[in-house]
Amino acid sequence: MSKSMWYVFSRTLINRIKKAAKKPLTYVGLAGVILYALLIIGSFSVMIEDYGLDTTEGFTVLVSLAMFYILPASIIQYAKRKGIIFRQSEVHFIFAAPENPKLVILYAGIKNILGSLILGIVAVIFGLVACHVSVSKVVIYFLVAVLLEIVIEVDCMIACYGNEKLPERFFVVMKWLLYGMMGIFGVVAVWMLYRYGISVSTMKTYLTFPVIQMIPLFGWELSCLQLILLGPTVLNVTGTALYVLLAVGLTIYAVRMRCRGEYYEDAMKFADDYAERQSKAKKGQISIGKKKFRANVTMRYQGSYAKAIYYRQLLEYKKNRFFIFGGHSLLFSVAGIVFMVLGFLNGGDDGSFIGMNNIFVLPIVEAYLLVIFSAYATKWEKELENPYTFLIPDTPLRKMWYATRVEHIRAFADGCLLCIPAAIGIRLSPVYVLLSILLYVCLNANRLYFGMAASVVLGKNFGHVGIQLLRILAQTVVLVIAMIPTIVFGVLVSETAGFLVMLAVIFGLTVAGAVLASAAFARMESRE
Amino acid sequence: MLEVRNLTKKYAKNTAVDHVDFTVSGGQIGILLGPNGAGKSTIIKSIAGLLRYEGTITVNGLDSRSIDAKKIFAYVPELPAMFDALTVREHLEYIRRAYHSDISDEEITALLRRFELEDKQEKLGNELSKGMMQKVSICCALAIQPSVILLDEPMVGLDPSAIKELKTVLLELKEKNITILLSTHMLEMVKELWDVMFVMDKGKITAVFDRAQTKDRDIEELFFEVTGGEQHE
Repeated sequence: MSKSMWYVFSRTLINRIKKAAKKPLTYVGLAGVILYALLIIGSFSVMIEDYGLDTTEGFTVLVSLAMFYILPASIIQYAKRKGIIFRQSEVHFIFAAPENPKLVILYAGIKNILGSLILGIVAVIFGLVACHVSVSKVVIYFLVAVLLEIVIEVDCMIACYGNEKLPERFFVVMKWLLYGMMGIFGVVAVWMLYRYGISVSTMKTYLTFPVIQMIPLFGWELSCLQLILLGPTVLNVTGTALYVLLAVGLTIYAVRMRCRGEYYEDAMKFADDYAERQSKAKKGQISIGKKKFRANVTMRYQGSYAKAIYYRQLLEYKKNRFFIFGGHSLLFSVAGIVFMVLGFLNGGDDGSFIGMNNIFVLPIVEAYLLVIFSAYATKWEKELENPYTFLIPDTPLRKMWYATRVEHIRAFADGCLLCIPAAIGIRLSPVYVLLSILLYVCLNANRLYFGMAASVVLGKNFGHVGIQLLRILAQTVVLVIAMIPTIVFGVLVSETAGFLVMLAVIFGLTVAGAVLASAAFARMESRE
Repeated sequence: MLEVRNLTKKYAKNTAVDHVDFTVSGGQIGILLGPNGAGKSTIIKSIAGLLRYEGTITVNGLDSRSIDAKKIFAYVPELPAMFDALTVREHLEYIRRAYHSDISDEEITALLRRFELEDKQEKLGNELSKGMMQKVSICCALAIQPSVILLDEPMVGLDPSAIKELKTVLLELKEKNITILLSTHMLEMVKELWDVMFVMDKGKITAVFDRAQTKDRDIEELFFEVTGGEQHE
């Protein structure tokens, strides 16, 4: 990395730390992370003692597994010319500057490099403290294995990303070769598990198996680890020699390779895509791949004013490949089928399911799925970013109703996908199926309305994460409020009465939430 | 001097720039004029080395992709993007280091003052408005003290006072024999600036006008004469 790029990196880091240090939430988060890390380390130490991995041999197994987990995925990403993030600011200031394009790749990949370095340091500490490996071996491990791995990773980054000579086809072949190598690892692993069963000793046998150590790059790195930590064998000395030769060869290639920055064009495109994804993520929207839209779709608007919002949304959904169905619908279908199977396997003849009245199964599943997807963004929130929503001459309540109407239809469809198959398995009557679907529509409406009300009333003083937490809190409060009368009526009258009261309470809360949330549609500033 | 020879840029089957040739000499302000999608930004990005292209581009005789060429040219993109966690001053410091520019602290301060950014020096990149980002972007380009400067729609997002200042700066650069290439679709903005004008449409240069030879005819008149559009008074 050049001095100027180092300046950007170091100043960015310092400024971020300074800014974070001013926020009390940073210290809370930090304390949480430290506590979590201590818990993990504590439980991990106990676990490795229980499995007899607190030795040099055990350390070798652990670092080998870590290598399998991290390195192949990274190298495959580089072969696909991915895995490095470029930002628009880098396109603006660094790509046009007189910087060596290879060093620009290093700058962009510095997070990966630092990540590997930190993991190496953690491994060293872990080896010394938990696995009682000698200091000399750990030092050699760090200086040779960790640094050599970083060198190879950097070489691969430059050789793959900055290559202007090798054709695209070469990288496609390389990607499949790497997948092939991983396939060999997988086949040998399955064979060994089949033959020797699941145990630590099988793992040790696997890692010292000649076929494994002969596989280029990853197998050779295993040889290197074993040579350093366990001592020489003909196989691991050969593997290590090949590993070192590979590192030297790749370094020479990466240094001498022609790279004048032709990759800037692709990187610029990635930077734009990344900025778009980041922007969506900030708003709580998830983008998976590129959406394909259908053209030549028309919509007859059957209403004016606020109704136009509903028809416009419907038109947008009609252009989607799967109309109003998405990943959400798929998950609900899978959950429905899972509960159908579970119902057949665990359902009692008295209509019970795992010891509870079957009428409460679906409400619990629905509430759980809703909490899981509490951050799931919907089209109606986008309406609040559009000035026209506020300019349409209609009442806030009507605007809100028509802006969320499609969401209620979607909730009804998802509810059907979950409830109908599940009801077959858990033997639920059609009336309860319908009520469970309606309950889901109400719960989803609650999520929308109370979430919006919370962010309108309190959201101005909270960031994006704060708003998400507020929404989950608001949703949980609604569920708790609904649960209390359900339990009371369920115990005092009957479980059916409890169910109906729950539905009535949630419906009432939905209406209240709708009135509260309509305030968001009154003025645009309510969302700023 | 900036020389573009036989520049062609294709995106899949679409030809964004089609065999374009032009030269802008030292001390000249060249204007790339044309409607949206004419290929102006693609040419500027190709010169800045951000795109793969066919043809030859030289900056003072140096291949525009070479490090030596990049040392002497500055680029102001259409949409500025700041480093989120770098202050305005730190952006300029990066430029000074990356280009080994001789600009002094006092000159940087004067530059910031000129574009009314002196009190924004300690603001982080993600705290700036679009207009301010554009001003920082222009200041960074000027801090390079370049021999050639490329500006892609530089007036977009600027307030009237900054536009006025930018025009003054460009005329000063011209006096210092700097080569300037500016792309725009806003005829009004470049009326008093241009020396040579390249009218573009659908990836091709459809007309070239030299101010000295057009006897100071109005830029709008010349433009609409070529494009066939109506002139708005």
